Amino acid sequence: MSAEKKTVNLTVDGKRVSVEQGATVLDAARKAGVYIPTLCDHEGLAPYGGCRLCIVEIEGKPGTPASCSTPVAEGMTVRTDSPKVQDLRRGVLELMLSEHPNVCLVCSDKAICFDAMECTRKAEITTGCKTCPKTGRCELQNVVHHLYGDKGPTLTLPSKYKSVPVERQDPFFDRDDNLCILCGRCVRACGDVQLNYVLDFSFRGSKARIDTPFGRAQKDSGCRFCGACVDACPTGALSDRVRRWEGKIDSQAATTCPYCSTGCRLDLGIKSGRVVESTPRKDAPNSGDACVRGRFSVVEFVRSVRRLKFPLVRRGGELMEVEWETALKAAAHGILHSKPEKAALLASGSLTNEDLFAAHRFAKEVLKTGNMDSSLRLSYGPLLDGSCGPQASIEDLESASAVLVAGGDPDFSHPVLALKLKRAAKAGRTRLVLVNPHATGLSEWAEADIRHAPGDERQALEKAAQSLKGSKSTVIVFGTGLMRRLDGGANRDAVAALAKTLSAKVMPLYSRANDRGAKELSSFFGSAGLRASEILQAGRTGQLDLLYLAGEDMWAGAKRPRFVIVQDMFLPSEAGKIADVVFPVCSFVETEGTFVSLEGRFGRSRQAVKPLGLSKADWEIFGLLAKKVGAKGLEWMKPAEVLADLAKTVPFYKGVSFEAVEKGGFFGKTSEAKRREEKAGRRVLGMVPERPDREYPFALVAEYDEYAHRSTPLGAEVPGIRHLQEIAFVVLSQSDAQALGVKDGVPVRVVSRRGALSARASVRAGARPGVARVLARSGEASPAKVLDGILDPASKTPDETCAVRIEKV
Amino acid sequence: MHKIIERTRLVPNIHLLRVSAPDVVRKVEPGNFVIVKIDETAERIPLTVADWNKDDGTLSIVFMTVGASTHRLAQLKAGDEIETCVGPLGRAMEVGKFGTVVCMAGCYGIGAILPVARALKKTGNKVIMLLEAKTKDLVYWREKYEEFADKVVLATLEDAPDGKNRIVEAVENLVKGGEKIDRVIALGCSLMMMRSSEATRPHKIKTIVSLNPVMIDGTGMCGVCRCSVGGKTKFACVDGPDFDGHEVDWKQLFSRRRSYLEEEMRALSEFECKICS
Repeated sequence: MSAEKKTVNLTVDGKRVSVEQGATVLDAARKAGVYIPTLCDHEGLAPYGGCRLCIVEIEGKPGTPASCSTPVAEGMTVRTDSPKVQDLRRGVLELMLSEHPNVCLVCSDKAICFDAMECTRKAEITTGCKTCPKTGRCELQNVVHHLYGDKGPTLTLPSKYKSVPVERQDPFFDRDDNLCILCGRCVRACGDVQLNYVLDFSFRGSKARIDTPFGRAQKDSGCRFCGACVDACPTGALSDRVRRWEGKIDSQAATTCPYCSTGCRLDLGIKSGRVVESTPRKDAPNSGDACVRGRFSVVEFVRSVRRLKFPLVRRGGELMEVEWETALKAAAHGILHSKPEKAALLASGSLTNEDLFAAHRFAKEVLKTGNMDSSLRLSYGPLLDGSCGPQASIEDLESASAVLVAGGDPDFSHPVLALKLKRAAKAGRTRLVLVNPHATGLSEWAEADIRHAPGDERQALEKAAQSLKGSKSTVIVFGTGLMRRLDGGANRDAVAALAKTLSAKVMPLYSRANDRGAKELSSFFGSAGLRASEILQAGRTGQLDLLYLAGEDMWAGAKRPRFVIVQDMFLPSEAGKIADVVFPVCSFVETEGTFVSLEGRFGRSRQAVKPLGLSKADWEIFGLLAKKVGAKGLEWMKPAEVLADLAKTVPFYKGVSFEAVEKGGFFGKTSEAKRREEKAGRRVLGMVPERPDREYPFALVAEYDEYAHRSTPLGAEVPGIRHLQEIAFVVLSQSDAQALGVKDGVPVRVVSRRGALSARASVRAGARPGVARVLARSGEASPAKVLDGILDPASKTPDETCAVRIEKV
Repeated sequence: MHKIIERTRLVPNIHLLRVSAPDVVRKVEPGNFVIVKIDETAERIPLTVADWNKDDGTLSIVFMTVGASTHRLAQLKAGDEIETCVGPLGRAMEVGKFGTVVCMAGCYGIGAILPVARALKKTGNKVIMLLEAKTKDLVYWREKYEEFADKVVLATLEDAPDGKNRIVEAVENLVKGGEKIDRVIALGCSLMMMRSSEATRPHKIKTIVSLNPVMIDGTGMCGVCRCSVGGKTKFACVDGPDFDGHEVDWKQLFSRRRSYLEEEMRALSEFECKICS
């Protein structure tokens, strides 16, 4: 096939138009500005020819072909609106309407009904447009309007309500088959686009409907709740529960998803000053895809009633709501009475660059301490000390001829990224090689799935290197499974060496939205003092005068820091108990800022609504507090000023501005940051990870990649998320479970030489014998209880593996 | 606490609730309403009494799901309890010997008008029932009315000729058919009651409507349920709920009913998020 495509000329309703060869008649009509009614056609889906509404007449061709599936030919003459065609379309539409609640479409009161009775449209079952969540946004309504005008249709066929119970057993959305017109858009979005294959047609004739295998709930059928089916639905059959009754939105704001480091672009829908929906944008890097976090976890999270609205100060043991002035004074007092070497600041990778920049300067200039770090250190510590090779972009990843995924499950942590890998593997473009102790969501798409015992990461990487030899372009994707190890530094060097031999690029699966920004900024400011793990240790043993937690949580030990300042959206579950001052932070939809994604792309987070209560942005709070303490230079008025200051100060972010980010794809020039990294790279040899033995026969693998934002697990505020994560479960293989006499779901104790945790057993087919995997951040199942802070001496990253035994309770 | 004896869906979105409330039953008259509250912190919902049984002290209510509280009410089952069922509230419907009375009822009104229609028949009136709904499948209790009413007419979209209003059309048909209508009683959604008043105005038939404004305490204290009737401000809870439909300021009623739409949406979306969580 030649690279250049030929152009084809044709006439649509008398308008001359030229399109590329291979385009459809429908494409040509759209290009010529001619509207053809469609229902089964949808952006991003292959032509289907199912609804038969886009039929046209083509001179010299018999019948009325569907324009969506008819390729253009030179000199074609197309008629799209002849009486014959419109008549046929009305016939097709009437068949659809006879099985779809249609009373409101033909009602004489429809014009005034909505004004007079808006309050009655919130009914539980949709019996007409008035009670339909999709009214005003419904494609069927639009087509009816196009074919019948204001007066509405006169229906000649009897109406039949299907009377199928509405499916409400899944989180996030409802499925009402009574409104379904069987266009199959959800089926194709789920299968062809998201590669999930949860939905399909079932039964035939008038009983035909969309269903899951065996009619199970979607949550039990492998659904990942990406929302693609909901967004593809032309009617109200699939409706987003949280925005169900909001009607048409007033406006949209383009923003960047703050929940992982992929940097997906989202559109926030705003109605009456509230965010009511978040949908994926078509631009890079996600190109129309989203995961459950971006699609369904924004609205409930930012609108939660548990958000902090007012500053709090501890008085007589209780946290009391106070004015800003009072809280700032209390915090300033705490700061002025602490020694710089005994003060520390922890800032989360969920914070924007602006916030982190302000935090670094606050630590340096106000607290005058080097004890400033981020929880990034706890998961990717080795990367803060040394390079792992040239960084890959998402484009590199998509075009790579081979991808190695090691020590992580992007299908869980970065689903949009994983989807790109699945597509590439499915199309045969990319060979996928996995290195993990257990099966992951990518296993079924992989050419090689190398499983290893925890601790044998490097041997497994060597094995992978064998199968990757000769690949033209390779990307190595890796997660905390390589980094949170006693020998994480050695693993990092192994990745770097592998990248060198394969001429590959690397991509660490940073968990938080701005982990990469946090890493780069900390390389610029340097970190001379205590590391995150040491700060937490010092806090727990009462060696700190002041601990400032911006979006981070901390366990209180036997002792506590003398003064604790917390700055967050929600009261952190642990640090909330010991905080002396709490500042309420506004959410990512209430302020402006930038994130650096895992590929180094700047993403803009945009203000869509007013801050909740008296909450303020992190950078603003640092500025106000600095002023209170008497420090100068941190008095910014708006986020753009902080960003301008950042661009001026940090050489590799030179030129960054909201406008530059908006134009699409600002990438920082981080070569300087890299040099510092390489200089700092060091390795301590001789650390031997704990291996299973007779007494403790299982290798525990702890994972902290629970979906979270700042210090709050998403599941705490978005209940539906809990269906997707096995939190507080210990995953065991079937053979081990059988040997232990443990059944799925029963409570067990996991005991190490240092402590014990309680969790429920989850017996799974893909699990590796001899390995127990726990996912939890806090609570009774927290792996911290059995790991007890063994640190990699070089990077101070805690190890997340140890030997344990499992006990029945 | 009041025990729920029965909760059934009559047609989509309309439910029958039978609740034990002997004290209310002792005093209740046609046209009275009660205020129910699901639990201590729940919203107060004013609902017209649709029937009662003096022997077992149960009260029937027909309600429509329109917001978070009614959605919750619709999820209750026999054996559950509700915190409050206070009444009878409001004035009873004027029941006299009028001659021919047309009872027009739509959605929840088809249930709520039953005691009134029965009392009118008992007093010696000729009672014609006009049951309004968008489609025939949404009409319920037809058989109950056929038992005692002199005539039962349906006004659905299937019966209305293209583009005509189904209520206006039904009234015209009755008049053309030779009925001399002395009084009309309309009970249903605001729009339906307004349409009924419009339909009878040219024929100068006295039309009583049972208004349904936003209401809180139901005893004349808060004034939230105020409406304009004949240029005067009235409280639907203590002066009504029945008023002359030709004198009601409908536009004001519609706009007052929308006062808390945003808050209603907020409550609903919170309610929806709790499903399956």
